[in-house]
Amino acid sequence: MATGPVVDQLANEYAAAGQPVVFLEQNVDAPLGNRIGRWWAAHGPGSASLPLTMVDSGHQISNGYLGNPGAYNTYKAMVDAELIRPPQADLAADGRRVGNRMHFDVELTNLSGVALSTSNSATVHALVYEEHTPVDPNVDHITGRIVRAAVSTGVSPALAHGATAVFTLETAELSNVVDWGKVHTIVLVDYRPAGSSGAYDVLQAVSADTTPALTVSKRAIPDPVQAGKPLTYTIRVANTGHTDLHATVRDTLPAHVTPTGVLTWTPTITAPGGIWEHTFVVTVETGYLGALVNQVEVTTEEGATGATVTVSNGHKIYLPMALKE
Amino acid sequence: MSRLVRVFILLSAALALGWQPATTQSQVAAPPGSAALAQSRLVALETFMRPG
Repeated sequence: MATGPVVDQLANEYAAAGQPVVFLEQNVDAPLGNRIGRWWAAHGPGSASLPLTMVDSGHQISNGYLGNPGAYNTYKAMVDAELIRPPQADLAADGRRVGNRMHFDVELTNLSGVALSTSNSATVHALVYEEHTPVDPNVDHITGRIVRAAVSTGVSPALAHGATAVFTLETAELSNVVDWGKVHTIVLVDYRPAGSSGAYDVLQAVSADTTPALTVSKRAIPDPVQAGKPLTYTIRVANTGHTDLHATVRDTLPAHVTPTGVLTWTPTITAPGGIWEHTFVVTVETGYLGALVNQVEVTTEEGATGATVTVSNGHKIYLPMALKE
Repeated sequence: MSRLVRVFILLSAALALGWQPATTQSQVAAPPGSAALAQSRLVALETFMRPG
């Protein structure tokens, strides 16, 4: 078995077990950011065979084709050894999409016991990756999770043990994303324990994914409405998450109004707190006295969805109220 | 000195020295690094490959 399927198999196994492990691929000929430099810092000068593999910024590395079960056992042992190490920093990260960039707000508390600074190459990294099955492993990439961007910033001024600092990172415009709904982010902080040379090590890494969220509502005025009269609908979608939403709003109008059918809009609703509102008027069919049922569905590229059903001229039913103390 | 006065003096002295009645919950100091240990650790395995 080639290395790619082994990595995918491990990714699936750790995900199924609920273990906090991510498997990321980069093209060795077009590496993003300074991540590949971490591998070489651990390896030192000389040549190496592909693939180059590392955990925790080079705390452990591997290289060369290992076959199967060699690759499976080696990579699993590397990951398992890192999982049981305690973190040496408290890290909170919020990654959100702004246009076609990813913006990160990071808060780092140093618990390593040493000051973090440019003297020990302490760095905060943000990695953007996409879950994407390669169309052609000979052309685009090999495994199911490909890095789309890698940005970093040094820890400067020095951060003493116990101190907290905030960092802001942002990628360039990302034109290589196929499906924004499958984009994920992690933030990690690493440093060189030996000082200005030698291998790097990760103090802590966390997911920076934020859950996109929205609310949708629709108002119908007047209610009840008389046959043959205008009815004004107002649809309102609010972005309640931290990520810009690229939405499709689909309104299925009642059968007995003009116009009828399905109306569709594709707004971009910015975060935080962006609101998209649309008002339009329909006319109720002459002589129609029944209920008018209208359904609005919202889907987004980011995965957040919402729906609401509005009933005009519905019959009101009064039920006895039951109280429980 | 009455027994009641002696008890009052002893209790006042004990309170002055920092003793707290059993009904007061004592605070337990968190061990160093416990904040970090409470946070889960994410491990990233990164591979650099050549398509093809």
